[in-house]
Amino acid sequence: MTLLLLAACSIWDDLPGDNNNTLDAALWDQDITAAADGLYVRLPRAGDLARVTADGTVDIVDLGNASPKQLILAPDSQTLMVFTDAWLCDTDDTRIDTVEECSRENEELKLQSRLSLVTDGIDTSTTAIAAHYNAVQFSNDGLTAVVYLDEETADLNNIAVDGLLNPTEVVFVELDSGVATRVPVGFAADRILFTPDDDRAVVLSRSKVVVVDLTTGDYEQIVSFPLSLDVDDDVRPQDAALTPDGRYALLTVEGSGELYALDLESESINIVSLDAAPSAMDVSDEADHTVMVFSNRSQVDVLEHDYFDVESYTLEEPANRIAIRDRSAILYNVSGNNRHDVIRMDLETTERIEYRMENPVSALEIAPDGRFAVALMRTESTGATGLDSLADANFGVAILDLGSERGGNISLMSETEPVGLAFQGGEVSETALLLLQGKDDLLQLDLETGGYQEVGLPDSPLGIGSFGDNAFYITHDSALGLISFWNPRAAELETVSGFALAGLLDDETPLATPVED
Amino acid sequence: MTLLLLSSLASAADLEVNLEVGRLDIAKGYWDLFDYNNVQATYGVRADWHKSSRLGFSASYAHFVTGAHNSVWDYWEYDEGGSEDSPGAAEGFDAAFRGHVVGLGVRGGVDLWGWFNPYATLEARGLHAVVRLDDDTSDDDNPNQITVRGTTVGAVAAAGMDIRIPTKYRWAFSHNLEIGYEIMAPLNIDPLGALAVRGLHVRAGFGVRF
Repeated sequence: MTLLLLAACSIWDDLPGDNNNTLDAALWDQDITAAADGLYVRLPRAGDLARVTADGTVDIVDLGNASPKQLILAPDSQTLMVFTDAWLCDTDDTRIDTVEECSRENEELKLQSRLSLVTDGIDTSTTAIAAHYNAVQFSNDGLTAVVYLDEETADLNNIAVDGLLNPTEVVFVELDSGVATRVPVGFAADRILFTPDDDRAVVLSRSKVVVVDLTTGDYEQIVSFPLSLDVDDDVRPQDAALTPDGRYALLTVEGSGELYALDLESESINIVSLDAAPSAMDVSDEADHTVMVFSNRSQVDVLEHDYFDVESYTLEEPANRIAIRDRSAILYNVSGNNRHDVIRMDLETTERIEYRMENPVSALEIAPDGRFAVALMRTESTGATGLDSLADANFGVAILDLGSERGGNISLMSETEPVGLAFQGGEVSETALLLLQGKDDLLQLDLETGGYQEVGLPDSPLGIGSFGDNAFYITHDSALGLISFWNPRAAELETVSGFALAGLLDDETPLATPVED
Repeated sequence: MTLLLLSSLASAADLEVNLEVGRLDIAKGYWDLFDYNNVQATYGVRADWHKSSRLGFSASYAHFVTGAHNSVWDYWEYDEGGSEDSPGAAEGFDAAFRGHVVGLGVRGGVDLWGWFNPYATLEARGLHAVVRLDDDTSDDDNPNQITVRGTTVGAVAAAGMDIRIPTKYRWAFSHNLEIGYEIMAPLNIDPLGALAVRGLHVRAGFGVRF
């Protein structure tokens, strides 16, 4: 009888939980990287990198006991660049194999920053790099990467300066061989552009732009453009782009209404005066024009690339974001002010179509086939009444028909804040996949009609991304690791759970395998 | 049948059955996942066959269970504005550890005054661990209801004393207390990692000898 009663109880009903414990780091990081061979997931507490595949396989990538801190996928979708931290102990005592043992023995600990190239779950190349690097820019062919410091995303207070740190260098990495070359380019280089045929790299740093030759493998400077003749002037590039022919580098400067057009062939600078400092700039290759918008001016500027003439057009509201699709620019505002306009501008005819959103836009994405855009909208407080009041109080999703001549759009109110958006279908995208915060459903949104279908999820979602050939992954709010794989062709949802358990019982940090500085 | 077996053994030697309380030391590994106290109390039963007053054999089983609710404190994310962004940070997860300890031992001792029996014992032990993890205990169907297991072996060397009263009957109440040292091979619980079980061994029992 007792046995029968025990059997009737769920084994999970008697989990003793009287004690409370706080882990010093999350078991997994929801910002995962989708490569061709699987999803790569950082396990911060264990200091590991896991590869998770849709069939439920979980592999731990051997990084020589170095702890991954940032993952960046190369354009080939196969090479993963992994920034790591590696603890080393300055001792000849081979019995010491953890950080804690090294400390107990009063030996010197050293934290080394590294960059590893991982392909198919295997660390193929590891190089010691300076601690401050945190960003990568890839050449158009994906064969060369430039590693640099992105000040905007860097955690500058936690960079360990070991000896001397040189902020005037970037590192060029040949991805097929793993060879890394340090190249001096100027203080705080934070933007790199590649010419269309990948024979030159344009590196922007403070008050200086240098062009690096990529054809010989020596990475020599071809030319250097000073952005100011006065060393007291601190000129910080904001946005930068190359013209489609690769001849000119265009850059805007923080707090300045001047646009620099650097002629990479004649090695000269043309300065174009604008009415204000642009908040965003983008180039349409098809229209061969550059578009600029201003956060405090209801204006859009269009720059042609032959004589660098600027045409200004008045808008009803300021815009601070640009999305380019073929010969059109979508202008919108995510500033937090109560801006409701989204403008589609034809860059050849300069015709502007206005879409009026119910609520201010927080994000906008254009579907791969360019027929629709989806805008996510936040709540607002305007004192409106009736249905407008209801719309103001709710988050929203708007489907913009980019073929409409009248700003046609479908505006939907959302139960909770949208936390993920992806487009299903590749070349012909008729469906958007939408996730709402705290709602255990994947919404398949019909972009033609605004109707939707729900696919049940095992837990509340955190984000969505695509990988491979029209497949999707959904991360969930689950401490032990939970990812769903959505196959739209088969309409199947597979779930992989518990992948974040590795090293949960480890209470010491292993020393890393040494590599050369 | 069991009674017949026991009575036949009893005719040749004494049998003793004890309910016991013991301790187990988790010397290495992140035990905070289950309990802040690295010393766990075990509860079990031990049967001894006293072949003579000097030599005996024992078989024992003990059990312990503990658990904790784990939350996540991500220092780096907190520094950037909150640890609530970590997956599962709001709910955390529960972790439970159930240990089954079995032992087979031999003991040698001397009889003093008929009721006091100091002894030394050497016991081979096995520990089978069942770990359960659940990040949403309110939902019986959530995917992350995880059970993993591990087994290890080890040994205990201890000295103890056995007291039995009254002495004039064929049965007696028995009480024993032993202290020694326990060591086990690493307890591997894949993929979580390993625990090391070793340290002071203390065990006390109360039962019947007949």
